[in-house]
Amino acid sequence: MTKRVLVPLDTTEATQDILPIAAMLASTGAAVRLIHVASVPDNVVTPQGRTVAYADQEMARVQALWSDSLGDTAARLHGAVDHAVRFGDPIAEILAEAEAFGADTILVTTGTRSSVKRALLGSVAEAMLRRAGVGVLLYRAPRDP
Amino acid sequence: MAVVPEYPAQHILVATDFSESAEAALGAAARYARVLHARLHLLHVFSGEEVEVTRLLADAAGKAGPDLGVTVAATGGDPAEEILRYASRQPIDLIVVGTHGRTGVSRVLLGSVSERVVPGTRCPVLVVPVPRPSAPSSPVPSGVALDDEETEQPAPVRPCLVCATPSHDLICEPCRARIRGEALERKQREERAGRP
Repeated sequence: MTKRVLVPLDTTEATQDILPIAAMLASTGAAVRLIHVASVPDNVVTPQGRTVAYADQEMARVQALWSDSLGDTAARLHGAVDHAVRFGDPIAEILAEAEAFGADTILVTTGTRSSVKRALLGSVAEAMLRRAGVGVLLYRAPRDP
Repeated sequence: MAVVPEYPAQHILVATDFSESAEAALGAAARYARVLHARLHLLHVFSGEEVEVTRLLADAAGKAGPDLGVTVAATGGDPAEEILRYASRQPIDLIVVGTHGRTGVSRVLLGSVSERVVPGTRCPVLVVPVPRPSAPSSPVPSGVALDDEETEQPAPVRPCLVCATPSHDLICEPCRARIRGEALERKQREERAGRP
């Protein structure tokens, strides 16, 4: 049985559409972890060359922002739902989190932009399936043309 | 705060070619059907002449469990097309397929079938991997093969992150016990010192 589900969420509306599926999985008793992978921030520098925020501060800000947002989302799902924020390459970080979480299934939306649809199917899903033992639940969002 | 409504999965379609990969998919689909109280649709698509389909399908349905409502169907043609056709004619909410990960063509990980099914349907598609080939294969009777715990594969052995002895876990059990003990000690010390 699917017992541990990793749900990568990003800013696109497509990922909001997969929440009912995450809710369905949570209702089967699976532990669900929502994860957002943000890109590693650079120092924020004004045009005058003055550094107004260092990468670590920016990272803490992004981390807090997403933690709040994912926490709110987790609260809207019944069951054992927690969340995590990671920085770096989405695929590598999702796989690392899957490993750390002991995920047996990863919920993947095939994206809203048709140009990346193939890439998503090709890269994220394939990379995940390459790791034997991890199933992938692929979902094409309703608002995807 | 609005609770997210659950996606209603009342009809689960699983395609089978009676392979090991399809067996894994059937096992997963049967467990979903049981928990979600959904109906299981078992579809076999054959190419050309196929003998014993009825018996094989009945066997597979039996493996899914006597407590489940199962609809079996067999049809000839292209697997992906027939799966999509079936899903559009029946009120299917979830499609479960296997992947031929390690067997045969290793490049085609999603399998040509699932790769063509996903873009063609609004249903979520669960791609179930074949059990790890590297795991020590225990002769599990087929009747038990669909049972929850029996299909669990042990984690690969790798060095423990702390003491580097081979372990099934990232951190081996003795190290974990030690870390837990140290944390407890620390907590007790802090409490004795009157800190929050």
